[in-house]
Amino acid sequence: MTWRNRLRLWCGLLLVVGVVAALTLVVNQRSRQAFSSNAQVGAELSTIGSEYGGVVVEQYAEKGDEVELGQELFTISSLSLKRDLSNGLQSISTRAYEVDARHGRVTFLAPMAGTLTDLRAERGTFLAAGEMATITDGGTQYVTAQFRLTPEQYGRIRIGGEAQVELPSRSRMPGTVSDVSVQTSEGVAVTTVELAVPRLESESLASLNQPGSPVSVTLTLADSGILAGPTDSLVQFLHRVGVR
Amino acid sequence: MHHDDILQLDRHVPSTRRAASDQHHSPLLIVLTLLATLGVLLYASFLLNPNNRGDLVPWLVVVLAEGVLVVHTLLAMWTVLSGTKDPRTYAYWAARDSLLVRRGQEPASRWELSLRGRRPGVEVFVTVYGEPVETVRRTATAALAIHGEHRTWILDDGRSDEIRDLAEELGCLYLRRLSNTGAKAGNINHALSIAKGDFFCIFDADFVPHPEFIEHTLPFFTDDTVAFVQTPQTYGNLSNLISRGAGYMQTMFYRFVQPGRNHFNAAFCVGTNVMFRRSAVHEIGGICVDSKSEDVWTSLRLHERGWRSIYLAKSLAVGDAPETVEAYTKQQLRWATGGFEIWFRANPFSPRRRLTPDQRIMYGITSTHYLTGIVPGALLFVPPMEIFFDLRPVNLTVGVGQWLLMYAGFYLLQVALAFFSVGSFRWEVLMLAAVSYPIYLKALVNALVGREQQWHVTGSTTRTASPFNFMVPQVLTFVFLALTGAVGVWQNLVTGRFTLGTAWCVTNALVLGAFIVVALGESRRNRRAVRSARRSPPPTRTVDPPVPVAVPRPRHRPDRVARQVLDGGRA
Repeated sequence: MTWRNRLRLWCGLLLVVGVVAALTLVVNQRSRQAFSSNAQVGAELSTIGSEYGGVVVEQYAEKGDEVELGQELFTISSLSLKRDLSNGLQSISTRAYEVDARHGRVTFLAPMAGTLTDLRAERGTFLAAGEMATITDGGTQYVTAQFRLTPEQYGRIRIGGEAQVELPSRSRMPGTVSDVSVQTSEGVAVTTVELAVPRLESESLASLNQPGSPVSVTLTLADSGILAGPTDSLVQFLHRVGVR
Repeated sequence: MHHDDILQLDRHVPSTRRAASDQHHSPLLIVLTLLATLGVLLYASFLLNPNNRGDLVPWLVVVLAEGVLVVHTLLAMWTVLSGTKDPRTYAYWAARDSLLVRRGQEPASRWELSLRGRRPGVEVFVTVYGEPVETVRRTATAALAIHGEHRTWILDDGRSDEIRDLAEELGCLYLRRLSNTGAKAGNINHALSIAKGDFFCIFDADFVPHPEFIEHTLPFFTDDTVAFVQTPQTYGNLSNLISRGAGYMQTMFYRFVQPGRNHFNAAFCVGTNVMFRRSAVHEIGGICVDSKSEDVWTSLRLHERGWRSIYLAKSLAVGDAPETVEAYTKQQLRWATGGFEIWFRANPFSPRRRLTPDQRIMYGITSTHYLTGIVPGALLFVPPMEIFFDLRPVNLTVGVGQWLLMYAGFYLLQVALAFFSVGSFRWEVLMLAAVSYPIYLKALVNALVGREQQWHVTGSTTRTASPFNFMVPQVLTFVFLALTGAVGVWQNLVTGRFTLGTAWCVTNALVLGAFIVVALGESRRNRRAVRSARRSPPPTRTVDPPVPVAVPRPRHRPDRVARQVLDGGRA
């Protein structure tokens, strides 16, 4: 071979080896990431409901209001409750509702402080039996994410491990694994991971982080392979130069 | 030899008789072709089915690449199925019956020719440009011995005195130019300014003509509209991997595609083993000199002027397929550049071209044919996309079995077709097809920017250039695929899952590796040849005559003296 072609060959070889090495680190980085098949924000909430449907005769709070513990929410006048009472049903008021036995009315109270995120009981409407309102305790948000993982990947999840949560608004925030459970349905193992996301808790309840908001979660799996170090360096480097 | 107790009544034994009575297009071949077409269509519908689509980038690569292959395959099938008509008409046979006028004592090469009652002058050109003397001797000897009166010329662009002496010894005419302008085409045009026969044949220095060459080709010219008659390139040196691959690559073209193109009146000249009507070439101003592929361009010009071309699927000259990586690379680069040049410089579909719709389609195929050489290169990089980026061309719900079935529908049927029609299927062809994409890519670029390829090889002419001078892209691709395959295997071991991408990647790496092993063997042989050359005086190279052609012994005829004609008569 001529020297010129040798030079071309060796430069090309160096380039190829370099490219493959970099891509291998990319592969390793990807292999220690698991992407959620679905994930959503959760929060502590309580649902208010009753077996007695009826007409809403009073409404004391609007949807989206902050409510105190024990605050009155709305009053229902229920014919079926009246009938049951006249048939000898004993009803006792609790923390969650007050029963007016004489008129067959029930006034619902907030069982906890929080935001009234769902209110079907509007004055003058007829409410069927079932769920009527939801109160969400802002500042207790967490994320539950489902993953379809291979056994090998499942074995690399650690409590306290890192994860990235991306909200529908594209803003990202870090989280840590607080709980892991797994269920196999139809031959597919679905791992449910619960994440604590401190920054979510500090944010007020906006439409994007209220319970049920879809998010996507990237879980970083534990890596104890020989490529762990170089991969970390590469990721840090990319982070430094602003690629990621 | 077949032994039975039945008396042999004529010159045939059963096997030779079967070969002689062979039908070109057997019904079975037609059915196989239709089946293969069906397989192609199934595969295309599978790829284009939106439900099977995987990630966009690899899917696009696969669809575009396989699309090129599928379209060209379908067009090839159509061409093959069109070629069922024998170009030899009643007029041809009638002309052939009265072609040779025997003279009692004279050798057959002196018998008078007669075409439509006239005595045609036939020139036979052997184009030489630095080929070994023995090779030229073999060809010139056979050219002299062709039946029918003709003049044999050695057109020497290599300006070699050895060749001149050889011409004198054999008793054929010798022409030499002082410049090499226009390469082979210029060489022939220069000869045409001196040799004024009505018809002329061209043979490359390594193509040994059959004695009956004129008998088989000249009768076609009884039709006034025929400009040239092309016969196949048959190879007698299928002894090493490269030449087998390169040779069998051409088999399909010469046995089935060119006869089909006859029917479209778009069979093109391939530069050797061809007979031209001088007046036709004269009309277009000589053989085209403005391209390395003067043969295809000349055909195109003739077809534009309304001339007919004939392709006779009968092996009438045996030559050499390229034996080295260098020769193969240069040959393919030349052919592919010529094809792409047509696309860029004389688009067959442009209204300015005066071609029939049939010819437009056929030249469209010619000018884009070598894209089918580029796309395997694109496909080589699809498995790495899966390994490195987890991007797949087809949906994950498509099982390996279904994918393979569709794939087999296309490729296995093609292999079966090749097997049935050519009589064998060569893995060397597959190997060369997989590794040649850098050549065709380079050809495309060269045709696009209109530059001549400069090869940076060895400076000395005594040493053979290492094949690796021509293989840098292939070596790099091999290293890339081998490393990628290793990464894929490592990943599969970690995840405990087998992926198709890894399997493909390893397979492709092995194919490229085989090519590199072939090249290593070649460079080892080169080195050994250099060492032995240093130790001993160069041996006189003897060239075995190719098997299928009987070469008559040279007759020493002192009554004919070699004539030397130099440029402008200057000695």
